[in-house]
Formats: sequence, C-alpha cells, structure tokens
Amino acid sequence: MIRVLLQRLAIAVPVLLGVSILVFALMEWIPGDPALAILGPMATEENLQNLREELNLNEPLVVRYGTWMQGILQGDWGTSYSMERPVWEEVRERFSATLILAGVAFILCILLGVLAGVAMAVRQNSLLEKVIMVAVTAGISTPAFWLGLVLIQIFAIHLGWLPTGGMGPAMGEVGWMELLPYLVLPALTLSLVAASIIARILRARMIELLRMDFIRTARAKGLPERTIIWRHAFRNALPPLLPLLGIQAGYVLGGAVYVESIFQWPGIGSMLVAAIQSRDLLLVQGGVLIVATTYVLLNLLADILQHALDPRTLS
Amino acid sequence: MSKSLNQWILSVAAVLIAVLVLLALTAPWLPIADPNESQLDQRLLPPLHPEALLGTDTLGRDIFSRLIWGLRVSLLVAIAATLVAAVIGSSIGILAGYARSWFDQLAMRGIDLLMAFPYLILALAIVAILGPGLINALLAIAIVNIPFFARTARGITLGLTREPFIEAARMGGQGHLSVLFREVLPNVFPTLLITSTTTLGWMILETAGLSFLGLGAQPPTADLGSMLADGRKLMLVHPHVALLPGLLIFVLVLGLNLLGDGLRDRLDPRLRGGALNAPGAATTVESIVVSAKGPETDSKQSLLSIRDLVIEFGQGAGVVRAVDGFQLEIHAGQSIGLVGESGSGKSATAMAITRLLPSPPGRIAAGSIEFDGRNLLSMNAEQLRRVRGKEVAYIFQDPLGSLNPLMPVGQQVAEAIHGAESMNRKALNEKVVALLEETGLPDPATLCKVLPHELSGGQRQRIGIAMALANDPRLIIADEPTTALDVTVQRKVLELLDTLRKNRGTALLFISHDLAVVQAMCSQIVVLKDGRIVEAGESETVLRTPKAAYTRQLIEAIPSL
Repeated sequence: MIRVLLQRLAIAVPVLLGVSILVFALMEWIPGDPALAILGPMATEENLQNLREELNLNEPLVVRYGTWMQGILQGDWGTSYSMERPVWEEVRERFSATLILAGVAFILCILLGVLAGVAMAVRQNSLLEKVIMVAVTAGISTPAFWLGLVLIQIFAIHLGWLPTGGMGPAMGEVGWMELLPYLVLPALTLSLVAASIIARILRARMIELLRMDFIRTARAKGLPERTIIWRHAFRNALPPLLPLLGIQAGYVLGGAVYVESIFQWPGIGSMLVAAIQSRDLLLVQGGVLIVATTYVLLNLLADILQHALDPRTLS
Repeated sequence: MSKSLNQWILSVAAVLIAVLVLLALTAPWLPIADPNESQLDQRLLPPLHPEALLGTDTLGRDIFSRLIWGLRVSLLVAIAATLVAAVIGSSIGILAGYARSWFDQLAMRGIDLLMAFPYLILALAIVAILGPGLINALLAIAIVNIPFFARTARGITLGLTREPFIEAARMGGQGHLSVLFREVLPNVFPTLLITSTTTLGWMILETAGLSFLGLGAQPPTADLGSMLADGRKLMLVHPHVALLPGLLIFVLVLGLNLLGDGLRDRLDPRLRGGALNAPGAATTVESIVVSAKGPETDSKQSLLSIRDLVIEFGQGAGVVRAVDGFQLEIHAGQSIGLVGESGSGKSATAMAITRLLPSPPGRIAAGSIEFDGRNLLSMNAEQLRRVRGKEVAYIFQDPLGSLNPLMPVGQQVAEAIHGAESMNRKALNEKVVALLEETGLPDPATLCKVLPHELSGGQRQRIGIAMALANDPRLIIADEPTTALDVTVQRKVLELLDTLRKNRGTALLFISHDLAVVQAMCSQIVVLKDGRIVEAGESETVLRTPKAAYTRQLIEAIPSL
C-alpha cells in the first residue's frame, strides 16, 4: 500500500508542477503588455512602469516562474485590480463558497447516481428501469444553465418554496440549516448531469457483476437479495467507480461556473466569468490554479482509495 | 429495453435531427423574419401571437426566426469544434500509438496535463487568453476535447500495431506514411466517427454554455446560448424568451445523444451496455405442476424428487430444450452421480433444483421438483432462500470465480451460516474456524482474513466445501467440484468431501463428466445425453453391463492407468 501511495504521489507531483507552469504561462500567452493586463486599462503610466520593474520582465522565464511560484507558496498571489484586494483573499473566500455548493452537489450526485444505477440493474426490463433510463438520458442532454432557470421558474417564482438565488443573508456566519434552502436548487442542478453519467455506467457494471459466479454462490447460500446486491455486487462495482467519481468531481467543479452564475452563488465560477469579462487576469490565474489543484488532488485520492478498496491491484 | 422500442426511439431521433439540420441549413431561404430586425413597437410579444409564432424578444426580434438561426450557429460551431478536436486529437493519438517511444511519452504526458483541469475551467482559461468571441469559444471547446480523441485513437492504434497485418505491411517494404494511411487510418476511422457523433451533443452544450456566460457569441448574433442569457432577466414576466432556446438545445442534444447511442449499438456491438441480462433471484417457472403422488413412487421416503423436468433456453423461434423429461429420486444419505459431456444439460439440471439457473435466458418449462415433500417450484424467493444453503447446499466448479474476490474468505463462510446475524461475534468466529479446520485448512484463524486470490485452487475449494457444510444440509449438490484442480489436489478434495458427507449422512448429487470419479463417489449413476436420460442404475451395474451405446463410449473414454 505504501509503495502504491508513493508511486501515485510520484505521478501527481509532476502533474501539479505542470499545472502550475501552464497557469503561470497564462500571463505569458496574453498578447500585449503584461503590466497592462495585470493593472487593467485604468492604470496610470507610473504604476505600469513600477510593475514592469517588479515583474522583472528582462529576467529569463525560468527565474520569473521561480519568483512567481515562491509568491504562490507564500500566499502572495498578486492584487486584483477589479476587486481592489489581494487575489488570495478573494480566491479563498470564493472557493470556500464553491466547496460548499460543489461538495453538497457531489454527495447528491453520488447518492442519486448510485441509487438510479443499482435500481436499473436490479429491476432490469421493468417499467421502473425504463422511467429511470428516460430520466438519465434526458439528464445527460440537459443544459445545466437552462435546468437552473426552469427550476427557479417552478420552485422559486411559481410555487415560492425556495429562494431564487444567493447564499443567504450574512455570508460566512450562517449555519447549515439557514443555508439549506439556498442550496437545494443549485445543488440539484449541479448534480444532475454527473448523477446521470454515474447511473448509466453503474447500471452496466452491476448487470455484468450480477451475472458472475460469485453472485450465484451468494444466492446458493440463501442470502437475502439486499445483501447480494449491496455487499456482493455493489461492493465489487465500487473500486472501478472511484476514478469515474474523480472525473465527475471535475464536471461538478466546472458546472459550478454555470450554476453559480444562474443562482448568484458567490463562488469561484462566477468570479472567473466576471474576471474574464473585466480581463482581470491575475484573478483568472488564481481561480484556475486553485480549482485545478483541487481536481488533481481529488483524482489522486480517488486513485488511492481504489487501490485500498481492491487489494488485488496492489500486487 | 425491448428491441422494437429502441428501434422506434432511434427512428424518432433520426427524423428529429434530420428536420433540425434541414431547418438550420435552409435558414436563409426560409420564409421567416430577419433574425436581427428589431421592431421596437412589437417588443416582447407572447408566443402564438399572429405577428410572431413564438413571440418576440426585448428588441422586438422574432424569436422563431432567431431560434432557427441560432440552431444554425450552434450546429455549425459544434461540428467545427468536433472536427478540429477529432483531427488534431486523433492525429496525436495515432502517431503516439504508432511511433511509441519518446513521442508517445511526451504526447501522453501533455494530454495528461490538459486532463488535469476540469474541462470547463480549461475552456475558460483558454477564452481568458484569447478573449471572448464565437471563434475563440470554438477553439477553446475544441482544445478541451483533444485529449478524449487522442486517447481513443492511441488505444486503437496501439492494439492495431500488434496485429499481424500491420507487421506484414511493414515487412513488405511499405513506408511508415503508407502504413499509417493505408492500414492504420481505415481501421481507426469507424470508431472515431462514432466517437465524434457521441461527442457532438456535448460540444453543443459546451458552446451554448460559453455563449450563455457571455464568453461565446456576441450580440447581435442569434445564438441559442446568448438568447437564453438575454431572456434570463425577463424570467419573472416573460419566461418564454429564455425557456424556448433552452428547450431547443435540450431537444437537439437529446436527439443527438439518442442517435449516437443507437449508432454505437449498431456499428460497435462491443460497446453496447444494455445487451446483457442480469438474472433474477430465482429461475422462472412456466407452469407449476402439483405432482400427483402416484403409488408407484414412495415419495415419502425420498428427499428429492424430480419428475418430468423440462428446461428451456431462449425465446420465440430460438427456444432450445436443454433438458427434457428428467426424472430423479434421491433418498436421505444417498449419493447419486449425474454423468454426461458438456452441453448434456447436467449442470442446468443441478442449478434448476433450487432454481439457481439464470433467468433469463433459462426457465423451467414443465415438471415438478419436490424436496422433503415441499414443492420448490411454487415457492417464492423468500421461501427458497430458507431452503438454499440451509437444506440444499452447492459446491461449484470454479472455486476462484465462485468466491467474492473482495470479501475475506472467513466472512464468506460466516455469512453462509443461516442465522449468523443473531449469533455473537465470538461464537460465529469459533464456528467458522471449526468449519475450516474440518476441511483440513492449515491455520484457519489467520486464513479467515485472507482474500480468495491469495489462496491456492485446492484451498479455495476447501472454502467452498466449508460453506456447503456450514448448516449441515441434507443434500449437497456438487457441480464438477474438482474439474478446475490438478489431479493430485483433485483426489484429496474428493476424499475430504466423501468422508465429511458420510460422517454426516448427507445426501450427494455429484455432477461430473468423469465416470471413474463418479464411480468412486456414488452408489447410483444417471447418464445424461442431449438433455435426456439414456441410462440409470447402480454404479457397479452400469459400469459393468452398460445398456446404452453412449454409456459404453463414456466407459471406453476412461484412461486406464
């Protein structure tokens, strides 16, 4: 296990390094004056001149990357001109809001996806399977940004059960119970596509497993169907499901961009869109860096968990 | 889902997509309003208005016309993005798979790096560099999808380069370029085509999404995503302005996805997900016959009584009768061998007894099976469950496949014990250890925690025997229990089974293709051929004076040592 752990870390570290280089290069690839790109069109000539010196534009690329990386590690992510505050503070605040939404959506998509997938496999050829299959196929084809609007129209405007958006009265200080009504619609919207994908793949895998000999053995022992489905079939479907869950985490983090903008959730996704529109590139850089790093780490975790849950892959 | 329903869905999707594509293609010549002509005196007309079929937007532009023009933009951008991603991605993939070595390493590490970003975040980063706009959004979506095509193409190419015909072409003096174009590309192309169709739906969602965020199509271009964004502010009063373009995207993508799934099932059956059937908890029984207890059989004494059993596989014209008119009586403590070559229906019969035969495709078409005077064919799943393992236990052929690969073997033995839930942990543990000891496994306490793949074949089958003995059943059905083992292990396992069975007075139904083994284990023999009994009687008699020609053939096939 420790060997696998080290092995996976040995793969993840260069990937993280590569991610940081790509994100650093974001600024290099911008056409035109990087100082102008950082300070924005309203910057004074004096400030621009100061920044150009600070950026050491004459230094070789490698040196500049080193300086940049050092700053990142020390929490100095630059200053956002559109927000007029340090990038790190803005990113940290926005990202914690995203983590709440994406975390709830991720749990929801696993719950919905697993239940739907297992139900389809177990009740194969039934009306229930057909109904879920239609829902799942529709789920994969639904634009999240449209679904969000439809849900707002029905549950917030028409029925008035839930708020149309936002994150509650006082951000940061509210408890989970106050946050819940604000979470329901965006989390549901965000989880739908990922849940549909999980359901489809799990259905096929569960059918494959339910045909295997060890399931016949379990039935021959006289075990209850519930035990056979969950402890035997699903337990074996779980390890290969984990890398898929890692990928779904990416869909959820990416989809947060739409959902946050529809529901005015003050997360990293709506921050990124606003930052791109105002061409606040330091903010874009910070946002992309934190999301990509999280995604790499989540996939690393999924990979390690997969091996922990299936010891056969260790040898 | 049924075949005809799938066929129907596929046809509907095909017609739908054909109509939408036709509308998009012919938009400039259709008798519809100019999508960008704003009539400020006709702003926000509701749908089904005589002036505009689906109403107008804030600037008084005709929504129906804008939808069709928006459809045109969406399809065009999505197809272009798919083409760019497919061409670049599969070129990288094919070259990497073909050249391997450093190029493969480099290309794949690059691909891995792109995949380290959630796809939409990467697309946003690319738009951030290039600036918002339709073409830039197209490029961003294309780049984001390159890894997918590269990986797919590389996988197939890697497989192809190991094929003999590629090697033959190389040996025949063809240059790399010629091999790539004449041999590799034609074989990769069909899969890439299917992959492209299945990604088209995604591409449409992604481009519409970027436009929705204001990073794709810019006003006044009619684009489904930006129309949705425009309509958002009017959701309270005029929801149709936003909901209609979204609905069109949904219908378009749904149609494409259904079409893609259908195409994939047609052209590449290996990828088909729903072709297999998971068997239910018990074999389907077509007609339940309550056996007339005739005076000729003493069913009071017999433990298991099977009469006129018919087992069928498949449906409609493809029905195969695997077992026809099978009869068997087993008394308490008796051992009977069921002999026949593979396909004779002996395993199907053995599985059918407690209705473990997978349904579909198998089913019990007629006959009766009674155990201890109870009709097994009329039992519900819960009643059957109480018989299985407790009164009738099985030992299967492949000891590796028959064990759950991820559950410690001790736990698998423990759960075989009926009523284990109500036993305390210590008592259960002791019972498991005792069972393993009985089957001659060394160091049972340690062995309990081990997974099946860590054991040898013989050890695994001993676990199988321990599970079968767990409840002191009255009948054990052993389906070729030693066929998968080496000859020396085989003998030991058989001896063990024989001793334990005799000590406990358990009846045995022993299924095998090997007459010599059956003779050693059983007092009675039933010979099965093509689903019918050809001979039955005392082991000695059958072997010494076989009546059927088939039995003689089987006897002659025994290697004399």
